[in-house]
This record gives sequence, structure tokens and C-alpha cells, in this order.
Amino acid sequence: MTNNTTTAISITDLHKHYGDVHALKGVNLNMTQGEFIALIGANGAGKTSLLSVLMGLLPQSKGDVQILGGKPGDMAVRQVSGVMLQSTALPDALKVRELVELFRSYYPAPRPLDELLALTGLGDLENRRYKALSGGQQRRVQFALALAGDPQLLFLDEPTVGLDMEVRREFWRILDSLKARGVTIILTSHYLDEIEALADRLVVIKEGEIIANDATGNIKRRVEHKNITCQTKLATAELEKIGGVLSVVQIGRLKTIATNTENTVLQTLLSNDPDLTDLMVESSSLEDAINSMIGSDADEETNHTHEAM
Amino acid sequence: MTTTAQTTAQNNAPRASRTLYWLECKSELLKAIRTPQFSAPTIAFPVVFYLIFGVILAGDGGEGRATYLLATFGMFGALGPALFGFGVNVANERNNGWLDLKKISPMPISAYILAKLFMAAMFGLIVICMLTTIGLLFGGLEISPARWLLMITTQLLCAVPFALMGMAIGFRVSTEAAPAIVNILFMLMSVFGGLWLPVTLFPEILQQFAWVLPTFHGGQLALVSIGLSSASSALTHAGLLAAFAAVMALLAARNYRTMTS
Repeated sequence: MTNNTTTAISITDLHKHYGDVHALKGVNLNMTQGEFIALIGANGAGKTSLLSVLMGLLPQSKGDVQILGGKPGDMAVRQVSGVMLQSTALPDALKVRELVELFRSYYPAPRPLDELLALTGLGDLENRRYKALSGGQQRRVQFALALAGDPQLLFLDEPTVGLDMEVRREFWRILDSLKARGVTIILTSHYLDEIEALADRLVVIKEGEIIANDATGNIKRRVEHKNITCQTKLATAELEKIGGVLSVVQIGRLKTIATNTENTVLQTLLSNDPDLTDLMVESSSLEDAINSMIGSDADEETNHTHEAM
Repeated sequence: MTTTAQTTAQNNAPRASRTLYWLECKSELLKAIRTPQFSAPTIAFPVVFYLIFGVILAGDGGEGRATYLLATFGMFGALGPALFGFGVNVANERNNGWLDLKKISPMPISAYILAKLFMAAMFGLIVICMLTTIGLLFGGLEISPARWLLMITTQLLCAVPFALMGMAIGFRVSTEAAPAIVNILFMLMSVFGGLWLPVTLFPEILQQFAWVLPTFHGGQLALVSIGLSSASSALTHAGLLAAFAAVMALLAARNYRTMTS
């Protein structure tokens, strides 16, 4: 089984130019069948360009892309792929059932209609017009269209953006069931809890290049450390001198110390300032790790890590 | 076993493809009917204008007028849904991601285009039937069924070049610009092409200008089909309309290849 894996996607030295903009600068990536990859990066990093090339919407400028033995956009590839685009407006006037039936008719071996409606939780809504649905319900219809052809390969571009937690968890359950069916999945998402829960592998893209490509757990371990937060009279400069301290950040009266050797740092801290209060020790999250990697500083203030100078 | 399975698969392929084309046509028609912003003007404009120009303002000699205007307003009614169905709707679907989703799916692009042609033809048919009913009831219209069939076939065929023009627009312009562009083209080409009033009532210069408008040639062909005289030979008008269609087809194909979503 382990040695018997088949390649689903193979990307070699892929480049994409839009005029002067070099959106993809030599991307190399392989995926085996049944694998679940999360593609992450800041806005404009090249995620959408990469997906667009893979889906056959945009021609590549240079390089080679193989999907299930074919090229992006080949009829044989399209027949076994399903897609959820980041923003799509489906025809308002059509009913849920009409939309799903229409998409089923495009595929040689579609999933049964009732099964699709039940799977995506649309059973009670099948006779509603698309325009009369809530945002979350519309997303489900889009998901049903992506699954209409019983795909072997699924592209999901920000599928759960704007959905509430309950709907997102339901969506995860469905993705888990698809993974169990052996579907190869590429997901882009800004929700790192989602990625941590679902993806086998993380691919981090920055300025058109892949800067990390590893099992989700490995990436987490690699950047993992502890955050010690407390209120102390010790100055930031003093704290930074303690051996094993990676960085110190002050937010209000609290100082947060990042370290991999929390035991020794704690001992030093307590012996130098026995009166310190509000002590708290936490593991850094995957979110911290990713943000430091893609250079997203949007939430720097709540982000307890700070790379050592 | 294998042979049976293969035969079944082969037999299923054309049936599956028929289902695809039928569902695509059905969806397109349902969409259009259920969207009053589309269905109301495309049907109401020709009907109201035909009532005004063909019946109410007819006065003496109204019978000939109702027949003449059935040909030209029928052309007006047939080209509206073709121009709007492609020009405005394709621009919309290109910009909102629906066309992208369909292009990624295994849907053949021919199904997309045929479905829109089907929708435009159905709407054209509805409008022409309504105009005919009004003419028969109030305008003293007299037309043989054979003539009528010839006329409606001509009008629907002559709407195809306008579908191509709509396609060229829809694959290119933005959602916001499309309705304005299509409305202006639709109205100006119809009026100056003699679909509302015969161009012979216009000043000389406008009569000559009409020759560059595809609507003029469509209207003249509709007049020929109903047994009335035209400005030039049917072949000349058909040739010029076909040339327009060819240019629009090339433009539509080019804009499709280079389109952005």
C-alpha cells in the first residue's frame, strides 16, 4: 500500500507571468492520489494563480503540469475533477435541484442526486431558488456542484470563508468522508484550525515560490516553542539576556517571552523576580508559525511570537 | 461481459449528451422567464410599439401597415433576446464566476452557446406569436400560414448574427457596461434600420446610412419573406447580413480566446 502510491499531480518548474508580474516563479510540487494538501500564503502570494493553472483556466507561461496523466483542462481531467471557486454567483433564478441536476448531466458517472442533496444538507431546500438561500446555504449548493461528478480530484478555494463554526465543522466532516473515499484534495484557506484538522501536508507559498512543503505536524514541530507571559519588574533588555530566550514582547503590563527551554528560563525568571505575577505558559499555535512564515503581520499585536533579531 | 459493458457505455454516451443539451436549454429558458428584468422588456417593447405604430396610429390603410410592420417588428422582437441574452447575460456570467465554473466542468462550450440560442429563439417565437395575434385581432392583418412560417423562420435566422454580436460584446465588456452598450445598439440599430418605421420615410442621408446596419438587411429579408418588396434583392441583403455575421463570429471567437473573468 505505502509503496503503491500513484501520482495525482506533478508540477515541474511552473512559471506564470501576467505582463510584467511574475506570479509563479518555478513551482515544483507533487501530490499522490488520496492526499489532502492545504495551500497557504498571503493575498497575492500566487495561490489563485497556481489553482487557476491547475484547473485549466489560465495557460502556464513555462514548465510542466501533469494531472492524473493528462494536462490541465483536458476533457478526461475535467470529467474527474470538482471545483469550488472563491467567489461564484450561481444563477439566482434556478432552484437548488435544477442546478445540481444540470451539473450532474455534465459528468459521465455522476453521484446520485438524492445522495448529493443529503450529503450537503440540501434535502429540504431542493425546491428553493438559489436567490432565496442564505450565504451558507448557497455555499452548500456550490459544494454540491463540486461533488456532482463524483470527483477523484477536488479543488477548494477558500470554501468556508464567512461561514459560522457549526457549518464549517459540518463541512469538515464531509471532507473527511471524501478523503476516506480516496479523493485527492487541494484546499486554500485562511482558517488554520481548518487546515490543522484536515490537511496531511502544508504547502506555503510566498511571492510565487514554495517556501515550505511538509507534513502539517512537522511544520508545527519545526516552529514550535513555548510562550511565557507574566507581569515582571525585569526590563525587556534583562529578559533578553537570559539563555534560551528567543524574543520578548511587551503588551501593556505583560511581557511575553518565547523560548524552547521553558524550564531553565522559568527558574532564572523566578529567582531574579520572586514577586512576578500573572504567570502563564502556552505552546505557540500553528497560526503563529504560519504567520511568521508567510510574513503576515496583520495580527502582530495578538501574535505572541517575535523572531529574535 | 466486457463487450456488453462497452456497448452499454457507447449507447449511454449519446443519451447522456442529449440530457446535457436538453437540461442546459431548459435551465437557460427558466432563467430568462424567471428574470423579469430580462423577460418583461424583451417581450413588452415590441408588443407595445407594434400596438402603437401598427394598430393605433394606423388610420387609413391600416391593413397593409399591420402586415408590413409585423415583418419588421417581428425582426425587432427576435433580435432583442438574442442581443440581450448574449450581450448582457454572458458578460454577467463571465464576471461573476459562473462561466469559469462551467469551463472547468466537462460542459462543452457548444452547449452553453446552443442553450442561449434556444432561449433567444423561444423568446422570439413568443413575441412574434403575440404580434401576430394583435395584428389579426385589431390590425386587420391577413397572412397565410405558409407565409407566416416562412416569415418567422426568416426572422429567427436573421437574429443569429445579433446573437454573435452579443457574444462578441459579452466575452469582452464588464457587467456594468454591457447593459448600456447593448441597449444603445439595440435601439439605434432598430430605429435607423427601419424596424419601427420604413426607412423610405427618412431623409435621403438616413436611407443611405441604413445600408451599413445589419438590422436594415434583416428587416428587408423579413419583408421579402412576407411577400412585400425590399430595397434590393434578397440575395444582396442576405449576403450583407452574412458578412456581418462572419465579422461578429470572428470577433466573438477572438474575444473568447482572450477573455478575462
